[in-house]
Amino acid sequence: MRYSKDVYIKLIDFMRDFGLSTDVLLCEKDSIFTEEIKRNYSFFKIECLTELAKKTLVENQLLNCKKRYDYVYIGRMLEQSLNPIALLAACRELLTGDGWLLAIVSATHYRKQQEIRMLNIDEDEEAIAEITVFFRAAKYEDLRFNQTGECLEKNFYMKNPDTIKACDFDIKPSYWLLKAGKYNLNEKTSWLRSFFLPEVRQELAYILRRIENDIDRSYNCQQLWQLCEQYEITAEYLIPFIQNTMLKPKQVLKFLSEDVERGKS
Amino acid sequence: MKVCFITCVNDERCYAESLLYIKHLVIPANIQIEYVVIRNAASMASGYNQGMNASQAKYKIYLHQDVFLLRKNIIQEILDIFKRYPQIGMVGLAGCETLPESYCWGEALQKYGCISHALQPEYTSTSTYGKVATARFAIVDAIDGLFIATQYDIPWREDLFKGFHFYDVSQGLEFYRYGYKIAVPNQEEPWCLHACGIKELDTSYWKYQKVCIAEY
Repeated sequence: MRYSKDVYIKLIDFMRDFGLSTDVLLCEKDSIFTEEIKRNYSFFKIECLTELAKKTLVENQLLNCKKRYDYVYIGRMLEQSLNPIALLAACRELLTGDGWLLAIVSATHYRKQQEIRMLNIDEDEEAIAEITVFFRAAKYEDLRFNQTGECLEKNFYMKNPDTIKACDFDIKPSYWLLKAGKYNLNEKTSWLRSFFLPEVRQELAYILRRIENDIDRSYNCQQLWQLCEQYEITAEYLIPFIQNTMLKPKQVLKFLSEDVERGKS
Repeated sequence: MKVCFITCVNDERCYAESLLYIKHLVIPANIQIEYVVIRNAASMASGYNQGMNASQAKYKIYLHQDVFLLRKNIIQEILDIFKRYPQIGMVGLAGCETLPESYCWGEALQKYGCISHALQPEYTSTSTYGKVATARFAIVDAIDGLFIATQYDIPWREDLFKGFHFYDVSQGLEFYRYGYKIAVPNQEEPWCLHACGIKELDTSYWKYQKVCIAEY
């Protein structure tokens, strides 16, 4: 396999939360990798773009896709693309609203490319900043980096003997696993969505915001407790909901606890 | 003296919530509040022209139906700017110092203002763009259309902008054509919450971007 176990495990970690109806698009030249994913995760709706002889073909194929995916994966395409912003923008178009782009980027390769372009980038932080520019230009609002570890380094040398010749030994080879979202959505809140219908969550947010903004507070507290009773919304759900939704969560929680105390007395 | 809130509405539930926030604002003495609702607007510019012509109020606030005003004193603070600086024709809550070549204010290097976005019912994020240290407000080239307060009536370019994009940038540039300026007040915390959800840009965005660039 082209990638080390380290990269593979990290990728699978990201995919672990996939729902049963998750649509996935894998753009990867290495058919061994895509077949492995398909074999192990046969319940995902996986489509692959693997027969990609020319780099431009990848981008053209992406542009022609009409479907939207929950996850789009691109393996080592970004650093080799002639127009990385266009590639990222094309991938972004394929994502659903809360979809994610997963991208493997070879840090070493990226640095070498940049050095060739006389940008003198030899520090990871600077390279990360450069990549961030691409994602920002392609209108992604969320970007997370994961640098691979020691085992990848060994694996990289073992699996890619030719690359050793091409690379300077002083440069530590490594991959980044990037995860980019169209919007800056907080992952911590995603589990909250699975409990109640959007209408109930919306009503809950409306009522809590009114309480936060001193709009008929007593009346809206009553509305809140009624809604909680009707839909069996527990404190375990309500508290993180308030923490993630409200601009002044402490103030809201304090007011609600006071309201509960008043109700007791 | 009247202040008129003008809103294009196609979601009554959302507008009812927005109205609740307006009705809980602090109303300055001697100020009457008026509401003009435009339903089935062909475009934002056309709806706002209808609203503008329907009201005699000197001060108008063009507000998206999904914007909840959190700052209780917002009316007084906007009026203070207008009364003290007659050359300021428009006030917004977020905008950019210099319009970039794309005419997308959000892509500018220096932005001002602050907006909270409710992208999901259980997730709110706040974009704090910036403020000026030496004044109460920043003078900007363009503002976001979610909240536009004016003290002069200048026609919206419904002849050019027949959709829901770039009407705001255009209106700012129209005000500049008439010799007025645009301000974004400093905000320590967001003055509004935009319950916009997640919306994809439709292709008309790019169409009207071209129209905007060609016109201005």
